[in-house]
Amino acid sequence: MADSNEYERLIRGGIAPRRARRALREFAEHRSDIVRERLSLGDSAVDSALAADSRLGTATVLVDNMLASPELKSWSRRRPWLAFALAPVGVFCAVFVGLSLAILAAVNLYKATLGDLHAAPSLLQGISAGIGHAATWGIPILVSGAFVLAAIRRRESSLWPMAGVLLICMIGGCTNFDLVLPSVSMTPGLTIGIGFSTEAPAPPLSRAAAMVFVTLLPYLWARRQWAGRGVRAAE
Amino acid sequence: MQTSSSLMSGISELLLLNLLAEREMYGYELARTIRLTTKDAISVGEGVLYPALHTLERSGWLRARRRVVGGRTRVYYSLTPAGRRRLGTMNQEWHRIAGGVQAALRGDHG
Repeated sequence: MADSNEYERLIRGGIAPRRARRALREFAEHRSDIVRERLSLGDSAVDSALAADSRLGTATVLVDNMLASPELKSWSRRRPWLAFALAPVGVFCAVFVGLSLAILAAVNLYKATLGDLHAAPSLLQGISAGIGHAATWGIPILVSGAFVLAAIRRRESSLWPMAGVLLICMIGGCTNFDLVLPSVSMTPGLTIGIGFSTEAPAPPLSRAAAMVFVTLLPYLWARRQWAGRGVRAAE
Repeated sequence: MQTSSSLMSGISELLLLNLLAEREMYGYELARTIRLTTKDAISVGEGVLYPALHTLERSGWLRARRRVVGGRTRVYYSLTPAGRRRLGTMNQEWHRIAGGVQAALRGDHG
């Protein structure tokens, strides 16, 4: 329990989860090394534990010292706007472009090995439709979900993660991704674009709103959960 | 005798870098080596050892890697090339200051 409280303090203080876990584990291992050392010298178990406490101090001292070192703050705590608002948009764009290039490569490979895409089988038609949905719905939700998950783990304030979700979902709502495979004899095509029409704003806006809802609802629920846990840890 | 904490933090860094220049070590091993080699004259508070090691790692002067030794997982620290350069600078600085202090204690005023 003490460890989880100290872990919570480290995370809330801006120490990265991996570093916090490692420091606490090193500290516990060090303590057990001191106890072993004292036991091997003939001390009783109680005296060995007292010696460990006196030499090492408590985990609270470790946490205080770590929190007093600004260098140990994670870069996401120092630049949350970059980590949770701009970086997610960059990752979203990179994944979207990467998926598009991968599909282009797959279509070219298919043509090179199996000839022209005359009458693509229905399975492929289904896969291409699935890829379209994955690109327009899945990527924004997965990318923004991954970043809000990171924000939860790091106990970040909600401002920048929410801004990141809104940005991704707005851009994601305006993206189009259509992979058309020929059903009889036509040229295969891949249409990718981003656009927003003032004449028909409802489809992209409703798609963006749905994605925001799907991503932010679990995030806000999880935030409430760890906010409560933080209060209990402080008690 | 109480030692100035800012002076001690610089000395701790110097000691840690010097010891890790010889071989990689884990925290408890470092604390024990400092106690033994300085004959208890300098004792780096073992509770503040890890913030210091993590700060040096974060600055790019140390690297940490996990190793399983005798069935126990240890985090071993070693110097990076940047850490070796830093150590060279710190050693020079230390010798300059120590030489100056010794000269003053001897009363070399001329």
